[in-house]
Amino acid sequence: MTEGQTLMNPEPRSDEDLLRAARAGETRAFDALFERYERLLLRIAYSLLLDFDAAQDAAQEALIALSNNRATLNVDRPGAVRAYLITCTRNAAFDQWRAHQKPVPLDEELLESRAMAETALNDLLAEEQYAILTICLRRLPHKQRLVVVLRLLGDLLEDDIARLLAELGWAIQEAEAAAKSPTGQKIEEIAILTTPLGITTVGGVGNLLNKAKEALRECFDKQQG
Amino acid sequence: MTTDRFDAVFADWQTRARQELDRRATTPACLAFSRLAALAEPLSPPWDEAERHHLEGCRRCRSLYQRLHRLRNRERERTRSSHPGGDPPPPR
Repeated sequence: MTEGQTLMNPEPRSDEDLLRAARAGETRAFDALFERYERLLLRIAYSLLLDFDAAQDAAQEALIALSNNRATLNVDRPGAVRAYLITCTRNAAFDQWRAHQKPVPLDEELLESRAMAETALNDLLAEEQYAILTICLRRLPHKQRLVVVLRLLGDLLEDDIARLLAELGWAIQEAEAAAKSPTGQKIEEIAILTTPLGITTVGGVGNLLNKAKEALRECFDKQQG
Repeated sequence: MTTDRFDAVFADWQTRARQELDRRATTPACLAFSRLAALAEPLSPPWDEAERHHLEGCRRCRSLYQRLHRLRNRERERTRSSHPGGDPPPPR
């Protein structure tokens, strides 16, 4: 890269550099971190909760936790900020999930989602099918749902998702155990609670996505049938 | 037949969910985190009328502001309770 190119396209600052700058009082630095991660965290939380409001709340909890802990978070290790945010989002999502967990029977849920009984039959049919798909998405294992949302809604590449899955340590029991910890817990402590999934190859993510879509199709057809 | 239907519904879900997630992240009209944090402080700078209007219609900004505001209040309560009998004495 030439000097001119460097001036025109400066290397983006690392997360850790931005956090150090925020500590030093550079207000825009934390804003930049916020904007860098908001969309990703929103998608992670949505994949776990399938609820837009709750996902937004979980992502915001994580970003505020980072802001509150900006002075003490150890940023010597590259990737520490990202790992902290992802873990906090997961924990906040599970806190939300546990707080609002209430099994909803299929019929009741369908009725709720089509409060528009007056609308045209075609619209109603479309809404009902949409509701069935949402129910089927909820029934997917978290790991598969995460892949579906991040790959198809987040436009993340498969190797990014593989990395994320490893970071999330996505075994459900472990995630639930971690969710018992308060949001904002230090990353070193959280790391003990998580273990990598072992899905580190691009092929692994592709397989998960295919399985998820098959399961969705099967569930959808069954509910329709 | 149902398979075709599934593909159509799935594609529709993708479009709708993607749009909704984009809508809920920061838009150019949204207030920056630092601005919302400043506004949530007890002695906050004055609100701009346009900001107030935006906040009323934007869940992202409103919930972030409320969250920050609650946090500041909690911090203030904590500070007060750690100094029973009122505010700490002024430094000499």
